Amino acid sequence: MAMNPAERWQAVRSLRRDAPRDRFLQMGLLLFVGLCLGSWLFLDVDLRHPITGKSRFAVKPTFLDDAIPFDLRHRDEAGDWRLVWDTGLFWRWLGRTVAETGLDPFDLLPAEERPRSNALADTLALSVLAIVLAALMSLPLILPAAKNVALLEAFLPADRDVSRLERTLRRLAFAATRGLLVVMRSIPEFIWAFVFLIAFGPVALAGILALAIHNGGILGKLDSECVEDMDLRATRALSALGASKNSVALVGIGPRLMPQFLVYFFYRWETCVRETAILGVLAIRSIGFHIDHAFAQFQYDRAIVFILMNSLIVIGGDLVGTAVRRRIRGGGNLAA
Amino acid sequence: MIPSVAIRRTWGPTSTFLLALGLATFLALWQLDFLGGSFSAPGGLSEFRRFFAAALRPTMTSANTGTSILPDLREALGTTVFVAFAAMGLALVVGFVFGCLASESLWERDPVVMETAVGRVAQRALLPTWLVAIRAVMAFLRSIHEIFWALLFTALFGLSLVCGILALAIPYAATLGRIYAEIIDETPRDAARAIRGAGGGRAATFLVGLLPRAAGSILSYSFYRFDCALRSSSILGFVGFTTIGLNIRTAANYDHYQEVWTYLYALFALLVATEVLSGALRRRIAAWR
Repeated sequence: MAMNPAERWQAVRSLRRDAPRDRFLQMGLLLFVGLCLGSWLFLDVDLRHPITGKSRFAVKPTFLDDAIPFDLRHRDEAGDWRLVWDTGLFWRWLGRTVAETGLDPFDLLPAEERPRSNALADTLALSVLAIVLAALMSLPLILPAAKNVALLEAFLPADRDVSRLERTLRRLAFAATRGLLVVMRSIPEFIWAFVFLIAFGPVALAGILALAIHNGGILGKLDSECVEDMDLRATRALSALGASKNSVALVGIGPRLMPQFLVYFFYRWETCVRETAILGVLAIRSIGFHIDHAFAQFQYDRAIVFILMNSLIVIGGDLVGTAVRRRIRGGGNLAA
Repeated sequence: MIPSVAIRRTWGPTSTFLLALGLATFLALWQLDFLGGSFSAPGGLSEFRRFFAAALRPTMTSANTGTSILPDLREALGTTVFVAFAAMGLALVVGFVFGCLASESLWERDPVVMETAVGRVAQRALLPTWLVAIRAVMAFLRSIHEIFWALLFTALFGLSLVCGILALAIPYAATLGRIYAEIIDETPRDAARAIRGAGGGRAATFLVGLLPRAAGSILSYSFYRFDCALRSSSILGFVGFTTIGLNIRTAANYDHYQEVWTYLYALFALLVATEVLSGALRRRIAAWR
């Protein structure tokens, strides 16, 4: 069925006219795109160096000097550093640098006397404890933050028939839980860690607590959305059989949504591994401490090795997480 | 009363995971000496008390100069927001290209391609290699945290906001690319196949048959990512860029805890407001879809 161009245009116009429109969304989108493109105008972006006038992206020569592996660095006649390749020396240097992450970075004793403390293992351990604590924190918040459970829609009409006071209190508790989750997750773990470090000193607990609060907020949100999307027939059937609300939650909701919860759990764990590393910048024992320390001492050769070591465990965490999520559920879409 | 059958039936792979998790938790605690010495603030409890007492008395007056910190605050918040937007602008473009190139749907095997020998080789041998390669590149770019990119760029080019923006844009582009690819691959392909079957070109198939249906999720995820970009942008200040983290860190170094709390509260307000706004936009996208 061929249309002439005029008819086709008409059809397109009418389709467009009838399409649902959302002014708020349109304006939001317009503003978002406009600011993404236009924000450069508001920033003091110096593409030239303020003193030398050279391009900002002219690599500082000192970087290249300091990025040459230390053992392969030699001065030439002109007094400049040059790379003299020697495979044996390179591997020895690499081994020594990697081994350094197995020593306690806080101790300034010579290498042989320093206590052992594996930075990679510490990073992983911190991330595991953080995500477990995050899950424990989010657990009591999931149901109060799910609208259908908090406002009793998940139960039989008889159970929903509560006094006006209780209804108001339930609404308040629901709003408060949602608000708490927003505050928990909208403050970055790094800021939480900064606050806790001032309060507790440079200890693992500060980092764990920081990661746990932020990720607890995210898990609470994702999990409660999951509960809201749940099919309510099972919970209503259970409550028709006389099950109390706690029993319904324990039997009708928990086990059924656990796979989905675990998907989110592993997704956030992957992020935790990545974020644990940067807490080292705040002097928490993780691989990030070595990275930051190397940068601070202009030892870029070592910094690069430590960054790559960190990449290894982050990618490792990614692979484990993806594999587990795929096993739990056919796919692993994180965009939900 | 909980029916006992229900309990017995809950033991499955999920429970095995939980058991493994318990073991992992124990090992992690063991690695960290069961959190021994978990309270070692240099100033002891008094510092703890002083810091949290200041939370109740945030100040607008700088203890150094005696003038108002409002201009500093405004400028720092502005920089934080604009750095996040600038980085998102770059990351969206690069991430979109990454996402399309890394999606299986773009390269979907179909009769037209499989007719030629070159097409068959490309489909069977090159495609899997290509997908693994581009995903590995994205995984690598993502695995280096924006803070480390920032340290690296600062060492390379000196301290400049451009470096901060680039540092933010690179891992974000890779993350967006990964998720965009997942979204595109989860989009139903019936429309695309119909277009291809009716003789549409590869580009038309992808752009008209697939993308419009993925657009809602892509947009929604982009808004979410902006929240993250704002958080990361504020943190970049801790390694020297002029976002609000710098003000927080500087004030804390001077022990001006009341100022620290002013900056923290301003940042909290900004982040919560953004979260609420982007949440509203995302809900509307879901309704509009």
